[in-house]
Amino acid sequence: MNNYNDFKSGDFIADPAFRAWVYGFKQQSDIDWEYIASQSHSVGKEMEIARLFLKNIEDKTIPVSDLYIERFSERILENHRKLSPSIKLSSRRWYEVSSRLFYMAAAIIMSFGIGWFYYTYSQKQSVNTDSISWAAPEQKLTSRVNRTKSPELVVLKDGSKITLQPNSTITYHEAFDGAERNVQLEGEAFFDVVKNPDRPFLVYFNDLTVRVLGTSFNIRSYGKEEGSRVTVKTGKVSVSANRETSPPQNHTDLSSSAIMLTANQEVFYKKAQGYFERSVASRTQIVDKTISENDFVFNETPLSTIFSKLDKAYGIPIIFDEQQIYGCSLTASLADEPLLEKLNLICRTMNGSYEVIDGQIVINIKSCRNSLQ
Amino acid sequence: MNEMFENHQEPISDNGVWDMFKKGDDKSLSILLSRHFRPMLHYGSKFTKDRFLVEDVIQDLFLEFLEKRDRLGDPVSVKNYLFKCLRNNLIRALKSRGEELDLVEDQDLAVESENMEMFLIALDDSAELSVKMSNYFSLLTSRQRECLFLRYYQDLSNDEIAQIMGINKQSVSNLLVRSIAILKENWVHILIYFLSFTD
Repeated sequence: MNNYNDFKSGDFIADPAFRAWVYGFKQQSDIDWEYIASQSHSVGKEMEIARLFLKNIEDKTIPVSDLYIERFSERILENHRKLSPSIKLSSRRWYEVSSRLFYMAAAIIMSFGIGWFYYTYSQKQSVNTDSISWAAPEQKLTSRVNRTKSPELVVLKDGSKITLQPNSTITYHEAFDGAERNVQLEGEAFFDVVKNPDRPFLVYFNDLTVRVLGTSFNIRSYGKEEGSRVTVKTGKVSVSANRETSPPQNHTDLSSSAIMLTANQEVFYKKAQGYFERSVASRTQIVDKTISENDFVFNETPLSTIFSKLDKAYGIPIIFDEQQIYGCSLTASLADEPLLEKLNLICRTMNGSYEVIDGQIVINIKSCRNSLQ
Repeated sequence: MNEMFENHQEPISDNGVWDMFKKGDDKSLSILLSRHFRPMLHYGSKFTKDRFLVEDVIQDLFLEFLEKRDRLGDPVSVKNYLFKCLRNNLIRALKSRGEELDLVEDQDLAVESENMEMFLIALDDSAELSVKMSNYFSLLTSRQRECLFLRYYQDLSNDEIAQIMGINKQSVSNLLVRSIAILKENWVHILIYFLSFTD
């Protein structure tokens, strides 16, 4: 056992057990550091210097949930599978290659077959497939498929714009004049919907329905992915799970599994588990037109004012304890950063942290007595 | 495969997981990431404030591993190998974005021989101390901060740091010694400043 009473700050810094304690690597330390610090003023001082030194080395850690990492990992595997098969062919054996070619050929033949099927049916003007059960008879359906490698713009008859991502398909009534504006999506698309309170705009995808009046949002829902993601840019969006394959008769009566999203929020729906996870979009933008990026230059501004301004600008609820941050102020320029980066910078300066819980932000700043002003 | 992970009494070593990854087991990817994603993100944030760039580089790195999984080597330490790859790719990505990186060693920094503790003790206001300590860290070069991070936070040896940073062992110890020395130097200035006010 070391004689800690003779330790200088440099010795504490070099001590692995001390570092593990400062960084909280272990639940419980074998050594009672607080007791040692309380034994003598000078040793306590040395320890405090060492602790501050180590804390500055650690700097900020970015809070990441296990779920986030899980999804990150799934995304990598997904992207790996999407990479062109030609790269993979080289490392495969001949019989794997031939079976792969067989499936590819089968897929091509099938898609021709399906295309012919659709063509003949639309000629007869009576479409009835399982996936588009809301198609009323005597109505002609149109499909747009993006087979290119870049996004394509589709303008609907009501003026709404859809940016269709590669390998994505939208299907809608060609006339587009019903009481509801219905679109079916497979893949990913950004929707900029013209406002019309009398004619709700509905997007069907995966097992979900998005319902809006007039707003802009992005949906990512590739069939082979494990879930769907809806990200709202402006306005409000309602997302609900379909209990049946066909949409409910009464759309105003949304089931309890509906979730409301506002600008800069997003929701991830995991198909297998059937649950929604609401969070904050990674690329945020200011929704309050009266506030510009230049308003995020602060000079001795109280923290509560800053948080209220962020709340108002991005429309994301920011929850903080007035008492905790009473008297805290900040001098910094936070212009031109996304919301989460702005919060990172604030929390880092204030030695605090934040969490995103159900599309809201919860701030945890202990007090600013010890931080930079 | 799943049973192997779940019924195993001891957690499988990094090298064990790496081996399974090489043999084509996809579950091993999520285990590797559950162990190393946070440290990699943390390390990457020493080079850029752009968290999403770091994530992109990590993603591309693992995609590359997946592409050539049957041809991957056997690193002594998986973590160190990941750090080294992340560092190289991240620096390349930052350079291609035209960002300035102060990764050149500063040879001309004087090494102070005096004792930093002597000066630190003289300052007895703990709040003041924390402010000053952060200010001093802002004076260190990013390479010095990186070196301190690997040595004291990641608990790596000078040899391991040398491998990750691609410099020799002597340069590592120089960087570490100078990181302490630069502190000493500045504590002196601050103390002089401090005393001239209290007179």
